[in-house]
Amino acid sequence: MSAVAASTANLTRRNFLKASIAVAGGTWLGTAIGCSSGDSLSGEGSSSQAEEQVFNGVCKPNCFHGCQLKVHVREGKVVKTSAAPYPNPEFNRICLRGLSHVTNIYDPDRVQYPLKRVGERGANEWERISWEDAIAEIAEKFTSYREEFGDQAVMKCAVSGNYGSINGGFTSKFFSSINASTMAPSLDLSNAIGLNRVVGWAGTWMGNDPRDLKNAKNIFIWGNNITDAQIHEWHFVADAIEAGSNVIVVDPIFTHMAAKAQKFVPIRPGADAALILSMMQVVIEEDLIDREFMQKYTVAPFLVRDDTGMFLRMSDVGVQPAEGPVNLLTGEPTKIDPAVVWDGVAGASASSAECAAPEIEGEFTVEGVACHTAYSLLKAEASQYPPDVAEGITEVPAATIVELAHLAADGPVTHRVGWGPQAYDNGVHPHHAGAALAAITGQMCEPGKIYGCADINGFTGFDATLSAPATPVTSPTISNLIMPEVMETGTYMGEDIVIKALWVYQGNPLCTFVDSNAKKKMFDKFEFIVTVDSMLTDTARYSDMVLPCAQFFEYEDIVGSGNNNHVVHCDKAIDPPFEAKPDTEIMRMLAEKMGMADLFPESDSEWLQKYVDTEAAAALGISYDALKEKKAIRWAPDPLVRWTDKKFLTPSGRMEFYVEAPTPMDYYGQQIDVNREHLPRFFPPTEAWPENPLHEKYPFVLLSERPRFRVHGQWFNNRILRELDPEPTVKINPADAAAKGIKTGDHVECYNDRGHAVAMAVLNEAVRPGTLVYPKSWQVHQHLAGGWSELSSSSHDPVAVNQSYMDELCDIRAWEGAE
Amino acid sequence: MTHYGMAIDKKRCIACNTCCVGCKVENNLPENMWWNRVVNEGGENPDSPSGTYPELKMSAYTLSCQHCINPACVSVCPSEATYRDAETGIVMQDLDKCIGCNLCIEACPYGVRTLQEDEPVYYTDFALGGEGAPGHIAGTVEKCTFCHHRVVNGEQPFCVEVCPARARTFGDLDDPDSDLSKLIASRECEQLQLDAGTGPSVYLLV
Repeated sequence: MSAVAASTANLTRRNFLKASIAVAGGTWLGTAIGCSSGDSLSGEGSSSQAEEQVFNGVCKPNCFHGCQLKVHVREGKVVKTSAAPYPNPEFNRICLRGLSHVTNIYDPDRVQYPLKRVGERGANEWERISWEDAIAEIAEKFTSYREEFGDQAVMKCAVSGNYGSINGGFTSKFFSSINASTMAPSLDLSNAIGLNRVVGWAGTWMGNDPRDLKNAKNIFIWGNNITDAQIHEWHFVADAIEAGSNVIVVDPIFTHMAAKAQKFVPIRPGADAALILSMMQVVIEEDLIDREFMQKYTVAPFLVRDDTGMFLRMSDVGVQPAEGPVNLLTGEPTKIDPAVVWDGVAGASASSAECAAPEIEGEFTVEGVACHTAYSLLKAEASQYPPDVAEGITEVPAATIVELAHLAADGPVTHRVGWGPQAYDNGVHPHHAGAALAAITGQMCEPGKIYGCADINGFTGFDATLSAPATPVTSPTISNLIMPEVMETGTYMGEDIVIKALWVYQGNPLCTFVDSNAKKKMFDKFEFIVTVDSMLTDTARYSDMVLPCAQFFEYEDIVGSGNNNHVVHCDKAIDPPFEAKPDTEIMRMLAEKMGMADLFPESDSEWLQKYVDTEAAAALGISYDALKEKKAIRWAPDPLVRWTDKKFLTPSGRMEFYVEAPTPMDYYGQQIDVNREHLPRFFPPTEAWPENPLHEKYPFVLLSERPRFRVHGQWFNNRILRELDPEPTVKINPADAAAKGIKTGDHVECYNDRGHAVAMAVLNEAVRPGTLVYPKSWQVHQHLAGGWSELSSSSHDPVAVNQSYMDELCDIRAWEGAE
Repeated sequence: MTHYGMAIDKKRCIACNTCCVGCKVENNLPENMWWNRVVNEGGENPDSPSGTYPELKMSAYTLSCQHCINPACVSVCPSEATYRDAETGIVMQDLDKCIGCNLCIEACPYGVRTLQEDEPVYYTDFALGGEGAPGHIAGTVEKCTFCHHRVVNGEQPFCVEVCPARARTFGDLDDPDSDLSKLIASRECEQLQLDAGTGPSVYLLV
């Protein structure tokens, strides 16, 4: 001990400070129950006195996790959230967002009471109004619009907000009961479309249980920053690495996931389909295919007519279709008309339903009809991309492509896809190609073998009729991607349409939809916009009325979605603060005002009980009472491994890498190139591609990342998380930054012809040269100028009708000053 | 006696900050007070690697009090505010005795002690955090307590419980059969600044 320390060892805090410091303690001291300033001065626990209650909660943003949390309450206030136990503790989970609910619930900027706009739209000038006045005005406007212009004049829009059940259930019931139109979110679907066109529609984002990863010898992770975007799946990947799995990350960005992988394969953004087709070419060239799997479980041997591109059917060769089970919708028997294959042994055509070992390759003429096998067509497509050619497209070295092809055939192989490659106008095809690669290598249907996403399919056994209207909805559902045109022209599908009012709930479209300047112009065409939210988001600020809603722990709910495959009961832990109300109560008030007082005959609890007490749920031991007691009950097989019965949900029951009759995801009168969609193809992104002449003017591809600090605009104002991530940033490769004279900490403007965003530059070698990466979900008012969604494009693939979040070019320059 | 320690697996840590935020809430830390922080091993900015694209490396760990066997902070403390708890081996801070002289901050080779200089400002007008969480006083020095208030009740430190990566292991280093001791024995480990002679109780699994 030093001399100084020895001589002062009897000092106390109080005599050292004397009177220079006032009585210590926090701002909470005056109100914390049972906790006096004296307690604090003693250094004792700040919060040990009040009795704590623990409620079961669910964190419900669209980050996929649906995490069951404990909500700790003292004196009617949430003081903490923590991970709640699942039946299997491997699924116990919480993240930094789940831990910082306290500063969302008690955000000083939370909307406290209904607000009515008094300034220009977007000026953020409001007056407080009563719920009675708000509901009366909405009811009056909705009623008059419907009477004058028709039911479709009122539109609803939800996107990636609160993924509970009862809030959306009530809102859907109300708006479908008034036959309202719907603005569709049209997002993050291209991976699901590409995958599901091959395996059948098994749910929007489908994959195996994360515990299955460790059964894979090789794990390909395609454009998926699991370590940030699906943080709760990372430990399963880590388990797999510890168990010996080899992880390959294909991504333009060197993420933490890439840093953990044994191999990082940097790729030019939007080029994934070319890489996969090239891997296929190598697999085929080196005969690494799984012939038997292809014969039995894929459409490889199906004969495709040269003249029509359709499968040759037995009816084409004179065999009348057999009658199958009655179609419940039509009441008519289904027709069974198998595809024709070529029986090489017999030297004759045969029914795919009967031939055990058909030829998978070749061209055959049957009854005068020239055909190729589906596999021959796929092979011809892949043959255009030998590794040296693909290297020029993807900037992945040819030798690496050969190595990847070998790994993809060395099973068990799991392909895990994210939401990066799908974020371009060519985004269906990498996933169509990937599923085809899995099909020709036989890497499906057994543990460790899958081509899929994070499985976020929810429990489907709930009673959906509770949300259904008495009569079917006839007003249209229109993609937000074409809404600017619809509102500008007043026509949809060739007919006049008038839409006057918009109800935004569970979402923040002006933040999370592409091309926000075009969207604002579209919003300007609405006469009346109501947003239900707990915070003044971009969308709320651009509305005419904002209704304050309850957050996740402020009403009872049941959640069956998320990538944990459980149904979870969410208690009401606290009352909504101020004048906030649950969506259910808002809908009841509006229904009553509009003369539909009987629309919601049940209490919220009764509704939830009916919602969950179905035969399907009972078969799994799931009921309202059981959930109240057990909190979380698994609904999926344990573990969930897809396709083990080798029966796919396609029309043929096989993996259809040749798509006989491609259809658009959402039809609004557009033309699609059917021939292109039969097979996985590579074609460049619409904008974000070096050969695009616009690239000379705007030389950077603008990529986004799902940050750990926010989800789809939620948590944007969280004061704890903002200490870690205070303001909008854009990451730039140091070489590009040097060329532009940009340093870390500079405020820079990223811009293109559609708009701009000003953010703080951060130099980072993880960023691929020629690209910029921005963390998503800041609100416009948090930028010095502009906002990220201004730069993205409404251009989209007419087949996928999906927002292409990364198919965009821009340039970057120093920000000179305020607007 | 019990000697609590912790291992942080760098092969699992993904710099997500969940443990840091958990610590923040559990201990009712005031604005701008962080007892636990992510250290990025790579470039100078968060989530930035070393090397030149695409030949890159990146890893991370978290840094908080190392709960040393020979704590530099204890030996310099003039008011006996900092001490190593005999029952747990946890280095504790008695705010009632702390005079805010900053000698411990200067002595600590890890930079994990922070002076709460001004009146603490909280996020809410009521106390957040776990039952028995420590208080905060202007003019005193704070740091990680290994969640002493939880550990004495048989619970894990909150950062360990919340880690989504399952990267953190807490236990008794004096018990060769503890999960922690066995983990450390089975893996290659690093400890921070061993040459400082402080005998840190936190191990980084590499």
